[in-house]
Amino acid sequence: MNTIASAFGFLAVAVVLLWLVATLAFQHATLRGVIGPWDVFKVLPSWSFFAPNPATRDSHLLVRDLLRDGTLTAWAPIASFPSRSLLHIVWHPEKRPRKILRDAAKAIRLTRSRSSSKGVTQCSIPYLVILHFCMTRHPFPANVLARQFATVDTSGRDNRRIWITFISEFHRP
Amino acid sequence: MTAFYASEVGVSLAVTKVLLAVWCLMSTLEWIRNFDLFKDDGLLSWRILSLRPGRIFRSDCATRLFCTRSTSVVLILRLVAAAALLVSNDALLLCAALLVIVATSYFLAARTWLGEDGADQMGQLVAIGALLMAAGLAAHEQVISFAGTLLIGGQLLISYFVAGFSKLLSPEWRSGHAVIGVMGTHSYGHALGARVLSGSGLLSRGFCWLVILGEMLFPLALFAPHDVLLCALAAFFLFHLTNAWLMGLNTFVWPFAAAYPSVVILGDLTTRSLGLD
Repeated sequence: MNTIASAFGFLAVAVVLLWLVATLAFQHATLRGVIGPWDVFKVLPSWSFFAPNPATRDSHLLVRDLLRDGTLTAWAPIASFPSRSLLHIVWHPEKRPRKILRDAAKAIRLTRSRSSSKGVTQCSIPYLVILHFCMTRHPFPANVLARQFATVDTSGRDNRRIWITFISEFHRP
Repeated sequence: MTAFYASEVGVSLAVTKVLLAVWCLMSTLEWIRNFDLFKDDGLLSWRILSLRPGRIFRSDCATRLFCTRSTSVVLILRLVAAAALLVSNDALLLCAALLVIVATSYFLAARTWLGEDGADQMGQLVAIGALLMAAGLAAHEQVISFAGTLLIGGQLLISYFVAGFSKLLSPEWRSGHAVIGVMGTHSYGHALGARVLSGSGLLSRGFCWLVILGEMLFPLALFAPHDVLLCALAAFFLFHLTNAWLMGLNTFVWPFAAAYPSVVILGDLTTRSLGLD
């Protein structure tokens, strides 16, 4: 029994050493492309927090509606940013949905920049995630014919700069 | 060296499991607060996420596994496991609780697909390492426990070094503009931090270089005397607490701190082996 446990222990140490070497290699963009497909269990973390590109922009999600009379409503934001408070040191659940939206918006931008047609982006899961969210969580009055969403980045607090990063097609409910 | 490790691993696991439990409780309660995300009209609706590449996600089995009811059961299991980590010192019970945390972390990563952060990654790695440590104690086999210590400590050293090195490669970090930009956002910033840091170029640049050098040089602390290593870890703990306050990264504090006891053991083993103590 002890021999088996010892053998398992040495095997575990060898696996951990390999894991650490693979983790180091995974941090390099080129090697990540090679190793990534082998990481079936997603055990290799990415440790480059806020670097090399720091998160200097806020991501916003906006929607507007095409009404049955042909007019367009104004763009309306559907996510807000509560002010930072001391409570956030122990309790900050708002960061989760915000991070999901941020990741989805980033993935849409990447897919759009890498694909030749808009159709590819519209079939991507991040696009469908945001579209589904806009369609179900924002009220849908009876006079609305179709809805469109946009992702917008801003930087700064007082003199904000704005970048429109993506505008979707109109979608019927 | 073996006797030294045997005397330290129990204490190390005792501290690690409490800090890991705090992370697990905190992050799970936050998921429960956000449970609407998992519903059919939520941001993480399985109707949409099941469409991702991989036929397995569209199977009936996956639909049953990842439905809202299963997800609520998983979240409750995580709370129970975290509570068990807090109150129990029995190695076998710890193994069971840690196994639940590892398995449910995989479940949540597969279920959510989007929105995973560095705290989730470190929490999962610490849970796997602690599981090895507890299994080693249960089986009276130090080598298994050492594999866990090596995994947790090694990942922490790599994480800080890579975070620092990636910042060194960035012109925005080297110039000090990165921290002003980040503090200027509503997602990760703070009005006070933005005001203070944007008021002085020297301060923002100095802070950025402090972070770059501190993170990059952290692995050297492994060769430092015990007290110096403790001071370095205390400084990083303070750094994580500051990030929790200014950036809202509250769940990062605990899984990273949970890795510190393993680094202390690795440091002590290194200095003893090299005769530096």
